[in-house]
Amino acid sequence: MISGIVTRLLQGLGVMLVVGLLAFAVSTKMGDPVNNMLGQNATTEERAAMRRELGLDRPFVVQYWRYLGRVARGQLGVSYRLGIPVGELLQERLPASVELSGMAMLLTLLVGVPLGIYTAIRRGSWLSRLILGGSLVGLSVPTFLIGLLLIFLFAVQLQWLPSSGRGQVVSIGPWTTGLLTASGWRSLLLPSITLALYSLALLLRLVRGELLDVLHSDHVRFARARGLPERSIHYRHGLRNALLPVITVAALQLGTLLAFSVVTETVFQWPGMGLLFLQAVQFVDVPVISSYLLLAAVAFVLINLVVDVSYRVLDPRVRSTVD
Amino acid sequence: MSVALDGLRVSLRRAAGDVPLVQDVSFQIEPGRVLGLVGESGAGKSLTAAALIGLVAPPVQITAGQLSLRGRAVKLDSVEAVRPLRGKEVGFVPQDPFTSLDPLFRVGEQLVETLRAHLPLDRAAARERAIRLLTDVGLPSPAERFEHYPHQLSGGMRQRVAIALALCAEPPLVVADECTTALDVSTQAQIVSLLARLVEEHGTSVLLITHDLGVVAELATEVAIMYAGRIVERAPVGRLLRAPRHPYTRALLDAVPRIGGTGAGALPAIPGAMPRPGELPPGCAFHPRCPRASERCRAERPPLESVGDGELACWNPLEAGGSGG
Amino acid sequence: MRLVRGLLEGTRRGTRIALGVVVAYVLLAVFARWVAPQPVQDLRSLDLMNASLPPAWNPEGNRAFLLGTDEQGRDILSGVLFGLRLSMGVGFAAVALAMLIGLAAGLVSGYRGGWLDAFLMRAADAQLTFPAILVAMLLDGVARSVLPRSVHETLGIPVVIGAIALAQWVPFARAARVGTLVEREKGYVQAAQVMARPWWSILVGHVLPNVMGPIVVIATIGLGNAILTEATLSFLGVGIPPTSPSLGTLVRNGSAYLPSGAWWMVVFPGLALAGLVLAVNVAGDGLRDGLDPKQRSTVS
Repeated sequence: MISGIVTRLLQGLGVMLVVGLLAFAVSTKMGDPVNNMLGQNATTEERAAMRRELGLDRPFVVQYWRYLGRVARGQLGVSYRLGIPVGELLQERLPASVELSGMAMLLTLLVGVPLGIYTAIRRGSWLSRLILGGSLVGLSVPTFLIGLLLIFLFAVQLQWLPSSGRGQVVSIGPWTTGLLTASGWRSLLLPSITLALYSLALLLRLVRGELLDVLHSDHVRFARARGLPERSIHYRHGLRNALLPVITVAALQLGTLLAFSVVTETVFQWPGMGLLFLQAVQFVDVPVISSYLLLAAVAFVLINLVVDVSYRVLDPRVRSTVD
Repeated sequence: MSVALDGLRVSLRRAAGDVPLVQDVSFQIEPGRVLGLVGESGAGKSLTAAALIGLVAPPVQITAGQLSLRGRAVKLDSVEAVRPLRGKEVGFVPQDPFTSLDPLFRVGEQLVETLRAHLPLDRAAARERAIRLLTDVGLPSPAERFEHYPHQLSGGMRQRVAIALALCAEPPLVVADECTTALDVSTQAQIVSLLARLVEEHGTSVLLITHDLGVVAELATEVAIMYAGRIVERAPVGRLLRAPRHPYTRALLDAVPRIGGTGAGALPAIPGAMPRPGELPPGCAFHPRCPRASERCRAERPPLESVGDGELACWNPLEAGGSGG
Repeated sequence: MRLVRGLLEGTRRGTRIALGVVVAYVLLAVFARWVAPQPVQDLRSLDLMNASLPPAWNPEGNRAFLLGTDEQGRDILSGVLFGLRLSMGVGFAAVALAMLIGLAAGLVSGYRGGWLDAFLMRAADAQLTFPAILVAMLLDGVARSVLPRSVHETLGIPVVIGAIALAQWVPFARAARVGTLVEREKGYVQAAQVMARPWWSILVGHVLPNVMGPIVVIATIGLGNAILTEATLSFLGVGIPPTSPSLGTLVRNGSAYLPSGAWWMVVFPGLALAGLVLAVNVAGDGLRDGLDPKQRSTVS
């Protein structure tokens, strides 16, 4: 098992290096930093001097190496657009995204899984059909539309909830949280529902599919034949088997959530990483773009690693070595 | 007390009309006796087995039938009546040992769970009982195996566990549905002798579903032959194998390859195929493939009647005591 | 087309309705120019006096503009029709491209095996860790910065199509590869090899038809996703250049006026979009069931 984890770690490292390379390549090809920093009217000598200073006259590999070094030390460059060190920017915006995605993930799990179970066990009931129909709608309506409609209904018409921003936030060390204030929670509600809807629908259908599959399997049939109570069959033997692949997908959903947070943050003007990335792309703010990509790669690799490890822990078939 | 099934009828319910799948199946099994239920695929054997534990799902439905055991008679057409029978009055040994055990739970855990579902035992007592059961079914190092997961056991061992699971509540009837089919020949032999021993020790009545006449010869005391949803012949195993009276039984026996052979020439296969449910010919269902078919066979279905030591449904049976003609 | 008929055979009524809806959408989009009540593309026909009118059934509305107008007096209904055209066009093109790339990669990978196979599969795996939206956004950003503005305007649409296709090719490749691995062992392929047919001919002539079933199902799911992705990109402003607005762009424009209560600018394009994707999804679901009755229907 340990060797499996190590392999995975190395693979992850490989992915990160590749992404880092891409991020760096992108950053050198996209726009001219010298231009950006000195402006149009710099003289040729000034430009040359700048190039030497920035190390842009060195071969690509050397530049890449120095870039990696800088990243390792946390020096991610300075934003072209805002003139602030990227590291600071990320620290500022990360908590907002984490809280939003975290809340959305929670909603997805707490609502999606039970509903999925219900539609599998009570197949054919009108409520099941309703839920399934709703899930299909949830997969078809674009996230931004949901956000806009929610804003229109709850913020513009009913005026119950704010239409943008995080509300009042509290700083705890490097972290800022909106979870400690009432206004923070009220601001979190609509965006997290918006973000959660798509993955909720997806997870619901997945849980249903897997559970239905398992409930028709041989070992469940045998469990029934042995006279085990229905409850035990559904939850002990059915659910545990069904949840295994679901966990994998749920974790990967986290990745999807992180991506779609761009849209939600835009609609609700939520000051998170997604919005930062969008603005960076529009402005061609290269340092921010490449740093965001690196961070995203790290996040995804970590998620995949955790999923892999948990699979090994949960499935005895994968776990055991020899008999 | 013997176990008796009376008039089992299973049909496929359709808007266009019900299609009978199993009709008028009845039998009686004494304690410690094994009734082999033999037939080709599609004859209705597995459906009969499923009906006895109520694992028949719509649109297939049990439309009639009564199971009598331990002095009680239970109507099989009501799921509510059948459900409490599962595991407690009727045990089941499944066909495929590789997929029948939950892969996420230890073997011992599954036994304890089943025991406690039927008997008032605490965990410690159940564990003891489980290990005793595992010893009983001949599992080597049972205390160790108790902690193992199914995938750590061989096919034969898993089947032993399945048998142990079926016997948890000491049911008077055990239904074994092709439980040796998925095993290799030597393991098959082991399981068959295990079953023989257990039947004698526990005094269980066993319904042995199989298409393998060799297993039947080893294990069964009586054999019933099924064709197109009905029983066509029933007889004690020795007599049936020596001198069957129904042409279909004769043909099945002839089709079994024997060491030493029946002489040069191809193995006699039965021409044609068994009719599918809903597509039964008029008269006797077997007549299109029967070398002894007469006008009456084509027109009128022969009823299942008592003859000597068993039952027979044929207008033109083979001579009693003979082996052909 | 034998394939189409085979697919349609096993389907339920709901699926056929959904397919009908999709076809209706396609027809509307193709004939937009004739169906649309107002020539939205013609800037000269705009009259600011018609700005921000609510739908016709509202007392302040105007019968000529059934679904209302935007802040520049453009008819919403016509805008939706033309936008549909763009959204669907990009969606179809992106899926078609993804299918092409995926099929090529998967077929070759499965057939030849070896390092090519290993490399492609690693690349696919790695790409799967990155969500499509980010890939598409990034590609658009790269294009935007690398290409001078005028070129970017004309190439805007192909760039978006390419970005979405790049994000979607993996499932096609996977399915094609699996199918190829299975078919490769079959007799007819080996017979063709013996007859010394060139490998690419075997792939296209023999293997491809057998792999098409699951590919079509992936395509329908992919279509829904592609349309949504394009709409999202346009909404974010990194999609199709706003000179020819897709449904996403329309929503983006309209969202600014939502706080003031002009809901029709957002709702109608949004509904059109959602309706289209819903129909595509239902149809895809139904086709999947029709193809493999063993797979449980996720709709009922």
